[in-house]
Amino acid sequence: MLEVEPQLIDAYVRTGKMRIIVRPLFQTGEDSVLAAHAAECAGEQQHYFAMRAAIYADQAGLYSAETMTAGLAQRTRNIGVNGDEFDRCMQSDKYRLPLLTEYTRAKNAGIVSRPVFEINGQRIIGARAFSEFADIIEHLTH
Amino acid sequence: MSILRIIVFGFFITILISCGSMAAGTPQATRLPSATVEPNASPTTNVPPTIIDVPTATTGVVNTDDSLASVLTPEGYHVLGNMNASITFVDYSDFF
Repeated sequence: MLEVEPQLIDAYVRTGKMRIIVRPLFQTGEDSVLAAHAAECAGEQQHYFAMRAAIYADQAGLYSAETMTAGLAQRTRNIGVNGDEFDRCMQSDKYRLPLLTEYTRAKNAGIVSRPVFEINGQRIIGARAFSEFADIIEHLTH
Repeated sequence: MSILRIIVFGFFITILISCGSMAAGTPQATRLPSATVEPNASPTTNVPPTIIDVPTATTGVVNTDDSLASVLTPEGYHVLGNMNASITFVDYSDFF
C-alpha cells in the first residue's frame, strides 16, 4: 500500500467518494505491534494517518534505528506530534491489549494473511495495483 | 625628488580611493545555494532562506493527510475521509 494508498487518497478520498478504515494486522510480531501502537499514540494527537504514512515511507530507517521504539519516536518529529506525550503513551503500552484483541477478531473473521482489503464488503486478498482498485471503485460508483 | 614623492603619494591615494568605492558601492546579491534561489528573485532583496522540515524518510513520500477528516468508528478504527462517502475501503494491513 506504500505506493497505492496515496493514489487512492488523491483520487477518491480527497474527492469525498471514499473513506478508508484501517484495521491492523500483525504479521511481523512485536515490531508490528509497536508500529501500530505508535500510530495509535500519534492518533491521540490527531496524527494517526500522518504517522502511518511516515512509518510506511521509511521502513528501512526504522529497522536501522537503535531500537524500533526509538525509530518510531524519530518518525514523529516531522509530523507535529508532541514528543513527550508520545513517549508517555508508548511507555503506557495502553493500546497493546486492544490491538491484539482486534487482531484476534480479524483472524476469527477469516483474515489470516495480509494485505486484505474490503471495498463495500467485497474482499480482496493480496496487493493490487491502483488500476485494479480503481476499476472496482468506479464500477461501484456508477 | 619631490616630484617623484608627489607621484608616489598620488598613486597610493588613487588606490585607497578605488578600494573605498568598491566597499561602499552597490551591495552585491548574496549567492544562495542553488536549491533556494528563485529565478525571478530581486538581487537586492535580503530574504533569509526558508527553513523547511525535511522528513527523514529516505524512500516514498510522506503524505500527512492532516488536511483530511480523520475520525474513529465506535469500534475504535481510524477512518480517513468523509464518513458519508458511498465507498468504504477497509484496509487490513500490517505496518511492515
